[in-house]
Amino acid sequence: MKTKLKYILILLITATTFSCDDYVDIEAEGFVIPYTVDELQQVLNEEYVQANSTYAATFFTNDDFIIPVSKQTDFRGAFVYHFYWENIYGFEDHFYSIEETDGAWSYNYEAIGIANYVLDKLELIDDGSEDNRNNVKGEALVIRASAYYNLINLYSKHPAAIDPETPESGVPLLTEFANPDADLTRASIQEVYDLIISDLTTAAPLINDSAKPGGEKTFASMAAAYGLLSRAYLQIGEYQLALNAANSALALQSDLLTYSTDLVELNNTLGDPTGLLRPQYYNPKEIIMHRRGNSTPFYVRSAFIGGVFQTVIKKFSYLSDDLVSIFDQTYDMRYTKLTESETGLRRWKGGDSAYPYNLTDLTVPEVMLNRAEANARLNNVSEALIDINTLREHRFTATAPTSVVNLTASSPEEALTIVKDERRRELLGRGIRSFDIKRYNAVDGDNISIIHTNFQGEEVTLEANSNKWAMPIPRKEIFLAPEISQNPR
Amino acid sequence: MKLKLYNVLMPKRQRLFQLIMRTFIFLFCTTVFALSSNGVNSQNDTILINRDQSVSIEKIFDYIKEQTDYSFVYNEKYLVNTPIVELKKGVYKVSEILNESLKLINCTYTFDNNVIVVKPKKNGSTNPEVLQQEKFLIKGVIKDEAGFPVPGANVMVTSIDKYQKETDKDYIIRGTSTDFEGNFEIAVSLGHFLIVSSIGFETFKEKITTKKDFYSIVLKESVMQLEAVVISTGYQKTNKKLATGSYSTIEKADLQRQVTTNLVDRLEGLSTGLLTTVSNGNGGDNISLTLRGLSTFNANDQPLIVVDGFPMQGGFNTLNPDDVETMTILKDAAAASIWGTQSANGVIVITTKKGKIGKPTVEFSVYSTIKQSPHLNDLQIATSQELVDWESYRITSGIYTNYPNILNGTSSSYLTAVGQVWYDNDQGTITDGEREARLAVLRNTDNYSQIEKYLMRTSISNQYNFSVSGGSTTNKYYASFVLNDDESVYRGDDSQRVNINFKDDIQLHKKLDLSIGANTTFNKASYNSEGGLDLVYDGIIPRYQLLVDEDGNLTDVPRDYLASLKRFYETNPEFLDWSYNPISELAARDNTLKSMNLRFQAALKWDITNFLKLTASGIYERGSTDRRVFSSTETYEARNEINRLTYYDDDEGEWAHHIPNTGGILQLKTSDLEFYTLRSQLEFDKDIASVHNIKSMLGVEAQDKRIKGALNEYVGYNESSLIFDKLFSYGDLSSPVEYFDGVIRSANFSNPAYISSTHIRNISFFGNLSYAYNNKYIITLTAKTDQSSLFGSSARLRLNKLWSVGGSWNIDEEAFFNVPFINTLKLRGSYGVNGNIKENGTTESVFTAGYTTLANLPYYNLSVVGNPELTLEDTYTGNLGIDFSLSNYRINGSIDVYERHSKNLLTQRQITSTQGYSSQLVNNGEIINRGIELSLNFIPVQTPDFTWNNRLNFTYNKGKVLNYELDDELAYTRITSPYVQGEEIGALISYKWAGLSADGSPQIYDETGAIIDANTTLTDANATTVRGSRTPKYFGSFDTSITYKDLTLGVFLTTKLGHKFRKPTVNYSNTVVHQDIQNRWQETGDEVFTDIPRYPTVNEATNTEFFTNYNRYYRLSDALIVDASYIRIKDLYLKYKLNKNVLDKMSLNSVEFIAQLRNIGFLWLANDYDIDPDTIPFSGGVLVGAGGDETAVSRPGYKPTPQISFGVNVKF
Repeated sequence: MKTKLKYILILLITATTFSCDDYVDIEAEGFVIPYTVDELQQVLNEEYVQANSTYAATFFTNDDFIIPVSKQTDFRGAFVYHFYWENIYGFEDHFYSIEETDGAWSYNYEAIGIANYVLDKLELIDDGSEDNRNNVKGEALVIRASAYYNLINLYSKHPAAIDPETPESGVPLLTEFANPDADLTRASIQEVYDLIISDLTTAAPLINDSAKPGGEKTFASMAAAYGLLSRAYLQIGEYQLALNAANSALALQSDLLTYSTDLVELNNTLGDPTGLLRPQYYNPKEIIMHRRGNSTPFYVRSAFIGGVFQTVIKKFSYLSDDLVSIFDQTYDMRYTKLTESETGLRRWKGGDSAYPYNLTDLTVPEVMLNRAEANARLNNVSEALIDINTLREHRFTATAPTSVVNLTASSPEEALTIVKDERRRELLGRGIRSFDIKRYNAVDGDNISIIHTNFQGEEVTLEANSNKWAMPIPRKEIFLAPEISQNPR
Repeated sequence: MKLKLYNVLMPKRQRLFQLIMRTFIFLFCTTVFALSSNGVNSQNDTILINRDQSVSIEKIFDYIKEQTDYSFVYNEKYLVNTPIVELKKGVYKVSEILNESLKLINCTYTFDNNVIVVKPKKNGSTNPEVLQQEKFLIKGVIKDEAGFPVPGANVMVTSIDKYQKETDKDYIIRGTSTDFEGNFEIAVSLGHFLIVSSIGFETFKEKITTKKDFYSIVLKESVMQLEAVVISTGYQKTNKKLATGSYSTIEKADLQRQVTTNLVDRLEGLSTGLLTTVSNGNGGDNISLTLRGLSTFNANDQPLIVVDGFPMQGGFNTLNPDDVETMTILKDAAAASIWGTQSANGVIVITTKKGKIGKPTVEFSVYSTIKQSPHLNDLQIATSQELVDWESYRITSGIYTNYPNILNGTSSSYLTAVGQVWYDNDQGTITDGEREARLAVLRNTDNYSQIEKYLMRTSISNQYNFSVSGGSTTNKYYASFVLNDDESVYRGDDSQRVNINFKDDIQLHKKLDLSIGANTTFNKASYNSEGGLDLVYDGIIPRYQLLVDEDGNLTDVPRDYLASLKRFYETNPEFLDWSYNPISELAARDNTLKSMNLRFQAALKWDITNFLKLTASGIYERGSTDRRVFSSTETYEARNEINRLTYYDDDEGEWAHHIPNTGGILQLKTSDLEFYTLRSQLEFDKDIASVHNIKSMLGVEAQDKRIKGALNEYVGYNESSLIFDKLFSYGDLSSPVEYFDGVIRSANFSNPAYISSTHIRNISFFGNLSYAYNNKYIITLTAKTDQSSLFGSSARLRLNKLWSVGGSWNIDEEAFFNVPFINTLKLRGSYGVNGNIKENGTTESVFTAGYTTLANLPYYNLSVVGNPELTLEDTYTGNLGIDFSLSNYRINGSIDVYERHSKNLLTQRQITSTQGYSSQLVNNGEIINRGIELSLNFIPVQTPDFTWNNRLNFTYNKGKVLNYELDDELAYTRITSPYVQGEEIGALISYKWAGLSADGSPQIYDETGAIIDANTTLTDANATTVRGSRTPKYFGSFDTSITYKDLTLGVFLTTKLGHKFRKPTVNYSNTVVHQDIQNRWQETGDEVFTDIPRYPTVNEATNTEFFTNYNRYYRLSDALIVDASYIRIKDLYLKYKLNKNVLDKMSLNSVEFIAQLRNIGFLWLANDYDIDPDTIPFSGGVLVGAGGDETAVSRPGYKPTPQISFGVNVKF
């Protein structure tokens, strides 16, 4: 009896002590928890795949594009979500309903969250070579800085229009992932720019471009870090620093497409010059970092009229008269090839029919224009015009007279005007114009206001420097985090 | 283009159904209650002893139990220290072996029906006073109230006037029992008491005062509750008398009363606390179970189903309902906490049948069920007249904003028949007069009869059941086979299921028993019905759209693209025929599902000593499901995909195909499940000094579950040559591609091929302890720890400890308790905690891996944001209960009062996307459920020929959400939220209706009490009102049956009370609208009579915010909250057992016929809208079923249709 019991006990003990922790410590299937630097790189890759930069609202908060009254009925019929556009176009107090968020807010913060995740996790693991670790860290910082740059320009006024150190004038500044106690109140504009600049300056030397698979222009490269830095410095008026950053970026990447040859070639294979802007297929050499915005109202290509199928392209990206007037309509291929006429209106053909997004890539031309503007503002007139004219040479037809292509300026002011117009022509449809107008109004007193005829037939004006230049923060987010203060409307 | 109708199906079955219904009613009303039988009482049954052996008397009882239908009633004390009986191999008569063996312990026995009552023989009395009395012999006859003799009744002479309890047995002077004719003879003395008792009858007592020598005694019927009710927790079996928890047991007889092919269908109303909810009229898997109120928001909310000790993975379908012996429902913590983290929703423990020693018993049964075709009128869709008018109004007023684009060619959307008429008119191909004439035709067309005829049917399902069981003392077997051949009321949906079950109990050694079992289920189903009524709901088949024209040709039903566009392309040989008709589609579809489930089970029991037992057991379950969806080019589905993915290749200058236009599209989806559990447990059971009983169990268990799935898709597949063009994988067509019309869109054709896998492990330690003093006072303790591979990598959170304590008091065992009409009375109470788990909860953020051809990058996508604080859900349950038997067991029942407090419930917290993600699982939910359960059995009449049996189950449960986070506190969010903090579960939150305005627009009250219309969006949640809950507070069932001789007639009623529903009504954002549209506001003054808003104007309809409000304010207002209470006549049944004489001639044991009529209707229905509150119809494609939640998943619509079943069961 006693011995029996003893055996039973032994049996039970052996049965129960085979390590329970080991038994339940199995690899989860279908899910991964990143533990290596390579895995963290793949977490960042998701951001490159999404490439969301999303500032769609800026498409209609500028003086480049209009929705003519004659097209408004078509516009309504063509887009399920036309009412968002109507709100944006009419400069309404709010664009989205109280139950919806604004992708510009959520996607940029999602990118920040992912970058923060990678930065936090890097601290916890000791995998990988120093080079790889540095590179992943650098890329994450660039992604974070890029998202904050979008947010601060969308949801805050230009720092020169207000005291940038006013608390709560910027956006919530999150630098840790999933911290439930994170402070969601809005930081000052100054604090946000400080982070952007420190992220980019830290990132640039860490990034190891040679470690990346060749060819793709989706990665946060060293050139991207400097290019974005030139954007940021230009925006806050640090012109010498902007110039330096642009120089650094262009030293790494400075290829330009020559429209007179490249565009014709593309035209032949695609029947559509907008292929220029298809980085995923054609990888144009002038793109530094591919990003794209929200779906914008470009294309409705279906057509079945009178019982017969016709290829008719319907787009709603009509150029304002003001914009048309600053183009050379004979030789500038950005006008002749990338826009087209439609019964008294001029329509932009750009964007991408496969991905109807407004592309917000960081490109070589933009960095050149950043450098040109910095030079103009630093009174380096000739340096400014070198960049402008180099760019123009790549954009005009081969037969264009040099007098038309090459511009000259006799004063820094004149040079600045030339740069501003060239930015508008070159960066058309990239959502940059809206940020530029804010800057020109605040810094230069350009007093640019936007006048639209809204869908109710009323004339509405977005006055220069008005509060509405800071986009409404989605009301849903304020409901969920009341500590975020709304922009005055 | 014309298609010829080649499959003309006459609605013969409708007529057949009516015929059967009539026959049934005729039978029901005219059955002659004159069939009689002789009582069967065979003491001449024999048992087989297959080897010489020395056994205890108890073991002899066991042999008899195993090989016969007899059961025993005896006091265990008689059998203490009994001698060992030497048994020679051979066949013994039961009476003989009992006589011989009971002699040894100075006992005798009586037969009563199939119960053997063992009692002590009394040769003398200990009472000397009485001994001195003069003895004389009396004779008598004992009969029941109907005048039939009662054989085997106990006749005793005692010195006091009662003999109710074992403790009184000292007063017994002598005893005998009646013979077959009810006669007895016994010696008495004056002053003694004559006591007659028999199971099933009230005890008769009379003092002997005269020297009367003949007594004619009539015994009154009673309900005898045998105390030895055994309940199973899945881990162990225990006597109900010693239990402290709350259990409901469902016996085989109750389950077999119903004729359905699925066990879950039979559960309704059989247990208190168990609420069954039908999610559509089809029953089966669409039934969800809620035990004692909802106790979770996001984790599993269904009870755990345990079969023969192990959780069942394959679902109710893998079990043959006729194999079930008993079901025990574990309801409180003391009952269920042994199941740990799986137990918060209660546990349903199923015990299946085992073999019995003896010659093989063969059972065969056949059942047929005829189900009536659904009635489309139940959907409450507006008439064709109204639909044509409303659609015409939408087009002509400009509300249908896409119409101008269709007209000007920028949209290629299809137009319904009504739209086409207007289009043709606008294109100038028909005149205004022709237009009106064509609309008039459509107004007078109704396709319901065609849909009912061609897409639905009165279905016939058959079930064939066969089982054999038997065995020897060392090997007992049970094997069964069942074939279910089911037809759905939707044409094209059929299924066949075979279940083979085998169980074998082998005695390896006198102390070592091995049981093995194998259960196999094969299922094959075809589902070609296009999801039943979805096409009607979606407006693809508007009510005026005929499927077959007057010439008998199939029509081309508009779908996807404009008809003229389709016709234009069809002339191009690269395009396939682009017409669509549901009838031809039904014939062309080839979708099948095959599944297989295997369950192997084994247990080795070792009786170490007479009080210690070690059991090692295990189960291995494997299931696979293969779904094959083949869309040949005969199907519209494939033709449409191929056509729209045909594009003009500019480079080649010709049409090209993204997917080949020859051969079809084949999709293969597989899912495999592998599950095992290994368990070892040690059980201790010992009586100490006859008064202390200690039972204990300790065990360990390891569980492993793997589910793997895969989906492959082949295009250009040719079924006969098995050739395919290519295997689709992720990335193909995942980038937008050019369509036939030159537009580049993302292709939604393909579900990308995938492989999925989950692997979960769980290890548990468990134990319980039960102490009973003198069978009066019982205390139980249970504890379990579960450690799971879930919850990321945090070991701290993997471990979860769950426990319970319970106590009970058998008051009737007390000497002081002496209430004549109370036979048993028991008080019990328990408290403890049960757990619940969500399988994808994680403490660490997890990612899913992906690969995109877009940038040739592998990437990790953030899938779930982890929460380091995450824990398991806990449900604390307190339970108090009383079990009682009254009036000689004529009334048996129990009452339970409980409170279930569920804490740490997982909620998906909406987080501002500023954090980088928008939701996270957190443990902040809290629910409290309180309830009372009453279950009552009463038998007002019981004679050998006539019995009236009643069973009542009634439950009150009120669940309140103590904590639940809403996304935001906006009025609309609150109205549509499934749960609202501070309100009852299922609370119906509504706008406060303020009636129609003078111009027929909806109006509601805002937070200040002011009336607002659709121009103002109500945001303040405080302006809403709570109007009851959609969860019934009271529910129950009443089952009453009358048995007269061989015939039983029963009615089964179910009820749900105290809940509400939102009546569906007009939604103007849809073309298919509710029939209420006919009562809409049409002219000034109508607002006095109606609440239905008028047609919106074009400006109203194109103003998104206004129109949203316009459609919501009335639909989601308190004016439409309706009482959902009902009493339903669930079924009516008639059972006839063949007479014993006839059976003997046919050498059969029993033959039983059953007829059952289900879904008859309501005995009482609170609402006046002809709506079955369990299957609320919807209108306009938007379900307004579950509490106004516009995105509810299921689409109930038609009422459960009447069905009739016939069956015969033969045993030999």
